[in-house]
Amino acid sequence: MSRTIYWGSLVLSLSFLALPLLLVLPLAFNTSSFLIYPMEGFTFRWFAEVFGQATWTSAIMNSIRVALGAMVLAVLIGGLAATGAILTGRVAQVLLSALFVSPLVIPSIVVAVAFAYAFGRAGLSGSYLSLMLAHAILGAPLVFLSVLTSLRGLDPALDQAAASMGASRLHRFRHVTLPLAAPGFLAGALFAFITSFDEVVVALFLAAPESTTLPIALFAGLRDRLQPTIVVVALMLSLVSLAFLLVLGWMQKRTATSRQT
Amino acid sequence: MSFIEIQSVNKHYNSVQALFDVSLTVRKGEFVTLLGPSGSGKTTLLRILSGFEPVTSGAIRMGGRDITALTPERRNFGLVFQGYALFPHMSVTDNIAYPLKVRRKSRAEIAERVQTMLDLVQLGRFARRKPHELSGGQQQRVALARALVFQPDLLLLDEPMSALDKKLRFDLQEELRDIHRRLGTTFINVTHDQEEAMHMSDSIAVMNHGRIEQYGSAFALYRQPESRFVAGFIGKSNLLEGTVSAGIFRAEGGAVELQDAGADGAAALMLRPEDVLLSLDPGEDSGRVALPAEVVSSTYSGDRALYTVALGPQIRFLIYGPARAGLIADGARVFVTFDPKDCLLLR
Repeated sequence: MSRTIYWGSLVLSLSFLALPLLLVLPLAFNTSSFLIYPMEGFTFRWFAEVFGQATWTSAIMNSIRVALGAMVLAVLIGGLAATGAILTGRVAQVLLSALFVSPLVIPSIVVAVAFAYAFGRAGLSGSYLSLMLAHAILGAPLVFLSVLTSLRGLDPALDQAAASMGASRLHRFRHVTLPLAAPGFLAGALFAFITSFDEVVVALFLAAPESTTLPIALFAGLRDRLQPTIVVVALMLSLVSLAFLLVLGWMQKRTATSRQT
Repeated sequence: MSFIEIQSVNKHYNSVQALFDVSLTVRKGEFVTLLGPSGSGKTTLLRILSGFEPVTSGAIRMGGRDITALTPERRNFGLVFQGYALFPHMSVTDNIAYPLKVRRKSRAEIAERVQTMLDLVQLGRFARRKPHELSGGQQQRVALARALVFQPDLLLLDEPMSALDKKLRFDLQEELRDIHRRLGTTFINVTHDQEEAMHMSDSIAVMNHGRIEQYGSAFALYRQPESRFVAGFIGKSNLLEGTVSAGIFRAEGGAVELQDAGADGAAALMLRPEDVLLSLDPGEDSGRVALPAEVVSSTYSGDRALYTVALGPQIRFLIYGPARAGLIADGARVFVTFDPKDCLLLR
């Protein structure tokens, strides 16, 4: 019985989730300029086109720039928030956690409108800064949660031991807490990067033509004309996400083994 | 003369009072143990001494200076935690060097002092290992070295032996006592193990229900316990409940004439197992009290035997007896004899 369920759910999830994605990807190498099977031949022409066209390359550079900025800001905001929250009492911690996680819960279209309005009034709309700030707010909860989890796993006696040896709070954070919670900070940073890199809705509201990010360019490309270049970009986005997931998995494995004492 | 003074410390956790008017003085270089069952307040007192827990009222003084409000960082006390709290991301050397780095000592001085400590705890070979690559006993010695390397004014130990097995515990007790003797640092140890307390300490403070029941040397606590709790917690003891009137103690089994009986009223006669003898006849020797009893059970341990005998339906005595010529059978009628001078009256 359990075998039937196992195979049933496996086949279903593969056919509905993975298969459509995987079927599209080979079309990135198709010689035909239409997204249709059967493939007519194998070519790297569309890759060359993506990297040759200014719309794509500038979108890629914009996305990387925005994602890096958002990641740094998100780690600062989320990391500091978690470090502070862990020091408060139980009730305060629940309230603060709810507050810092709220950007995850609010529908992104609401967040997008709010940001567009607020940045418009502040005279920031269309700038890289506005995108970075908005994406940082979306990424901060992920950093907050992953840092909070790794801080909770630390033995409070370690901090007390360092204090008894005369170390100031800052010294303890720098030399004891931070190195031990580093996996949490790194995982949070990766999540924040991916979140920004893939984000469409907020970017649609905030990006000006010159600060267009990759997902928006992809979106525009879909509306304009269906060409294998779109699949090439999608393939690259998937590879970036996959690489990040692998790094995360490897990190988790490493911390799991180093904590075995 | 007194180095650490704990003056009338009270501690409340919300509505629960954990310490009641605790006062204690420790001389410089002394090895003091706070001994008590769980919930007796010994760990609370240690946390107050280390600065992690504020007092509700009272004061802590060191060398005459009030340090009650001082943060742990500024007390300069070494602390050995129950779980050792070694930094898992640092090697043994880096763990021991940490308090020196905090104090911005020169690289040469750090290297030299870490080496001295490694030699002291005999861990030179393991200097590069990470804590999780060490055994429990080795981790404990690293924690000890780390807490002593900065020459603290006071070393606090929070049940340092509780995670170790019995054989290792004994060895480390010897080692700890040796280190204490060599360094001359003042040690305050917390434990619930009365054997450990008696082996290592100069003075023991027996704690119960947030109070210090008695403070003194192991000998004083064993021979002159001031309360039933101390008599029962330190070593084995035999209690005979009864009443005192006109210098004579009367109980179910018989009467004992005491030289220094004190005031009349209900009291318990306390005798250590080694002060009581077991014999098959009452004997006529001078001054010994003989009470009839029946052997309930015996435990043979080669060099001697421990007998449990019944003096009445509810009264049990523990008595050591010689076992070279075999054991006295269970159920045998015997006499329990003792010298009234060895008795202690507990109220």
